[in-house]
Amino acid sequence: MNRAAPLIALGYGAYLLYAFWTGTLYFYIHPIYLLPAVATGVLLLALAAAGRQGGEPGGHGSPPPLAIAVLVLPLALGFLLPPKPLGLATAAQRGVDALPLGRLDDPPEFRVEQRPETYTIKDWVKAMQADPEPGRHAGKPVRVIGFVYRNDRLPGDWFLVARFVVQCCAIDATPIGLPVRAPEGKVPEAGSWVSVEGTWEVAEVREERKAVIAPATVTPTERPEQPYLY
Amino acid sequence: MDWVGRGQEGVTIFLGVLIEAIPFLLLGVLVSQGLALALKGDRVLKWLPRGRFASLAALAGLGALFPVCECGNVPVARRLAARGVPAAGAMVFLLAAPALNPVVALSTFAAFRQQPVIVVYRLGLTFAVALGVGLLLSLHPRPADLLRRPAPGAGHQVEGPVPTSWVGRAGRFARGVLGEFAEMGAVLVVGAGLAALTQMFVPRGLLLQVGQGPVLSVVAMMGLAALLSVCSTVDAFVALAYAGTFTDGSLVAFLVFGPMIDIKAVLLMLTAFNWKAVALVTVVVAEAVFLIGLGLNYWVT
Repeated sequence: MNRAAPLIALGYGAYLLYAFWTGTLYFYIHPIYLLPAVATGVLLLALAAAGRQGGEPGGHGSPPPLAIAVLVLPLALGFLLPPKPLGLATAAQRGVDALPLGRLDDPPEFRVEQRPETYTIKDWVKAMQADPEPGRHAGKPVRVIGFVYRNDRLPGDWFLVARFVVQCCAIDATPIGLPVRAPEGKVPEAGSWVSVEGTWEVAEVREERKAVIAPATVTPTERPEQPYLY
Repeated sequence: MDWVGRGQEGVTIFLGVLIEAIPFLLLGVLVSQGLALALKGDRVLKWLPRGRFASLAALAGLGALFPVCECGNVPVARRLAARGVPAAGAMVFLLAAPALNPVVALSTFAAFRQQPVIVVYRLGLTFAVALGVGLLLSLHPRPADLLRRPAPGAGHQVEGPVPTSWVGRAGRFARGVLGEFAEMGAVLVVGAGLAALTQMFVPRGLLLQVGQGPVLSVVAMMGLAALLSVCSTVDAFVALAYAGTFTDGSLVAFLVFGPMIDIKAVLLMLTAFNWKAVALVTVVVAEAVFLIGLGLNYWVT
């Protein structure tokens, strides 16, 4: 077992660098943690190499076999399973519109000179929180990318174009979405990525005035390299 | 129910917690092994002020020097205990350090720029709760019984003759680091797994329904803090997500409770203290934070 600890470090170092290399670290953590993760990967490889130098057989510092077995599990999952960003299952579990985005600390983002078609889904959710009156957004152009999400509370020909907002890592990912009226009532497949272009309009749902995107186009698109918003 | 999708995304959450926490864990282990080299014998005791209260207060403030979250602090606390710091002192450090440090103060301030008083509550109340638990534990007639046997942290200080060559010394240091990293890493893996499982099976909406009650909201946010096991350096941003819907007392309870007690922290704590001590501390901290949350909700805000 004396070689086990360096091998574990080798595995974790290699995994962190592999996840960075394949661009999948974005599925797990906020980009500001990319550098610490990569530095840790390099450091673990260096420690693994140094730890193999001149070790006495059966020496101190060997972790128990159970610890080794537990540590192998994430490596197996990480290397063998295809990496998957959070999507429909987590969105359903957390509820797409159950959570607000906290307090509005950056209203300057919504100055008039900014072009509304450059807003992300997160920007729009904040804008709607700052000014919930749907009438004042009507007519503004929207161009956003997200995945398709449906829940029971939406009218039949509506869907949400959704993204996760991540503060630190996947565990705190908060799903948010904007309602879209599907062109000709054809709701795209749930979970597929779409680019929605249209304008806000006001609709009446169960005697409540709601803002909804009336799209000119809903185009299937590739998942962005960074699937979450920050 | 799409169980395959749920499982796949659960794996993403699981790996996300690990990838986020491992750099902090490695940093903590490096500090711990560095301390092992720097502190020979029980010299650390000489640096601490005399007197029970002063020495506990000093240990609570020590976190300012170790700006890592709970996964990084446990190795340091184990090292302190192995170097002769009493069990109560090591526990005070363990409870206070994850929140009472400059990185956490900064991240909390960044999240709650609109309400800087939250930062003051968080730091002040963390200090008070940690110190209170420490004073309580220091009344224990046989403090050594609180620690896990064999003496924590002893196994990963590579003993024997110090090699003379540079390569030999580096190898020795690296083996110490890797041994401790593997042992604590295994616990972190279990904690991350539990956190990911509860995230997949406990609907968050359930917790949110109780966000408005002055009593229920505090209980809910404490439960959420324990389940989520997010690192203290970034948990303020998680709390921010609830700032619109939850009472201020419950937010402070989340910020004070989470770094001290969560699934991951308790499992890591068990590598240094025995389960009775951990259970006692969990209950006392939970009671104290609950009362604080209620107090804030009823009398302050």
